[in-house]
Amino acid sequence: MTLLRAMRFEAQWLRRGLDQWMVLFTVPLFTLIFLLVFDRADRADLQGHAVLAPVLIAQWGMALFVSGEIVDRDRWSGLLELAVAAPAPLEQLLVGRILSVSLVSLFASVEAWTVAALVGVEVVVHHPAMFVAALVLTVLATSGTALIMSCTFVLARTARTFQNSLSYPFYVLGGVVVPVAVLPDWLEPFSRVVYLSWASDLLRDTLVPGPLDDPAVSLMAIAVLGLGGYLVGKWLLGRIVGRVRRMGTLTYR
Amino acid sequence: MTDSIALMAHAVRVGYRDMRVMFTWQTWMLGWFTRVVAQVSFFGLLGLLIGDSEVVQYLIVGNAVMLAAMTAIGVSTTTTWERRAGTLPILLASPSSHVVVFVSRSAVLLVNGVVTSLSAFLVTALIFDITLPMPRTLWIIMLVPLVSFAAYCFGAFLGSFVLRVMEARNVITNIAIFVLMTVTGVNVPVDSLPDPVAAVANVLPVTHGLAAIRGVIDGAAPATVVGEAILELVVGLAWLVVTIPAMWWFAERLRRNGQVEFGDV
Repeated sequence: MTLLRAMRFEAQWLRRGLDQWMVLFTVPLFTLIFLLVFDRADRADLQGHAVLAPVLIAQWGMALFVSGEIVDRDRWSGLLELAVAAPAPLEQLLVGRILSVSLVSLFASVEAWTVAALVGVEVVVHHPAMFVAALVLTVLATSGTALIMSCTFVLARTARTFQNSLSYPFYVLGGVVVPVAVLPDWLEPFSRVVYLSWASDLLRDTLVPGPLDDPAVSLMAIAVLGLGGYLVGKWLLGRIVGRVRRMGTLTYR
Repeated sequence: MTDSIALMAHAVRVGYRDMRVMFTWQTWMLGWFTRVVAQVSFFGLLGLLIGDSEVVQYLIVGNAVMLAAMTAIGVSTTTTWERRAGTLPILLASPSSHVVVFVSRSAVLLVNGVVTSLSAFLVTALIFDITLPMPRTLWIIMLVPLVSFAAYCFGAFLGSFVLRVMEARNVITNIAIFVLMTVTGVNVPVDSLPDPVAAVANVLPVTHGLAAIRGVIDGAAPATVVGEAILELVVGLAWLVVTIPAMWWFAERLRRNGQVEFGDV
């Protein structure tokens, strides 16, 4: 119940301003850029990459720029004190709100496919059940990872610097457009601990006809890495809230 | 005139101090610079995926130069900084020109943009093993500041709109950046776009400056390069000329309807 209420609370907050939609505003232009680059190179086979990439970018971007700011935002607005004092578990409140943001980020898929359709590109999902399963797990893994961001950004002097620095490096490591296999070999171990790399490979595979290559391994990897992110985030939350309570800086810096 | 120069110098100093709060050398190198190198590499990798070294070079050059514009365009949020600091109403009420303050306060972004762009270009050219013809490529050191200046003037114009809708500052700035990345020849040539889009691109920053830079690298005739560079300068100055009345008009509206308030945005 706490989780659902937290999700509703965040959805209401999202409706209030423009800034939190910034990532979703860029999705159509991202899609267009990728489609134009591949079209100029006469590579129609890469159109699936072009449409899928902005969906993953939106997941990560919203986690960084919206979910990542939740604890910091609550702290500035004086809400964190009340949330910590309330009998509802803080972690559930946060996870619910982050989940809400991740679900809203899925709107990027509507945007990307619409832009593609408008420019006459049709991208077919050949394995719809696996596509949905991979997307649902990606949303959950993003939410788990966003819990880490939300906690660590509180400790940063200027969270925006960290938010900006974690965008493109993870688009590269996550193989959101260019598969990990194309990256230099030495990057692969780093890529494989980023859930996005498994998600992007699997989601791209669902756009290609023919049997899928070990989808269970990819699903498992997304789930394990997402769960790992959640557990680290939970541990960090306990440490950070405990610290700011002890120091009396729960609201004030 | 002397007062305006003093005001400008003071605004530049304030902007520099703002930046020192945002960045230390460590966060600039590990945070910002890592991100921009990753950004240029991200687009360069599209060329690797396509499997064409010319496309790789095209994307690396375009996206490295775009960094100068992307950084400079951040001037559009200067007005928000004034409001956050609670100094916007005071500034609008003072006899000093708020336009001079808004336009010059973020001048440090010009320097940051040029340094960012040139360093990221150098690093990504090494990563992607791009051979640049020397010494003529060194001319880009003169051309990147031009792109940065034109984008700064365009960003200042956007800043006048931000005065009216401050909550949309990041949305306006980001959409502008992505539009430039789409239509000004950063990722695909301007002449491959539909004619009306190409016509709009001709009055936007980056288009001509980037054409001049690509001309230098490709060994175009000096007259062509100089012509494009002059056009980039003209585009920048034109945006600056439009910015002055726009900023004055939007600020005047805020003053008249009482929407200038203290507080966070």
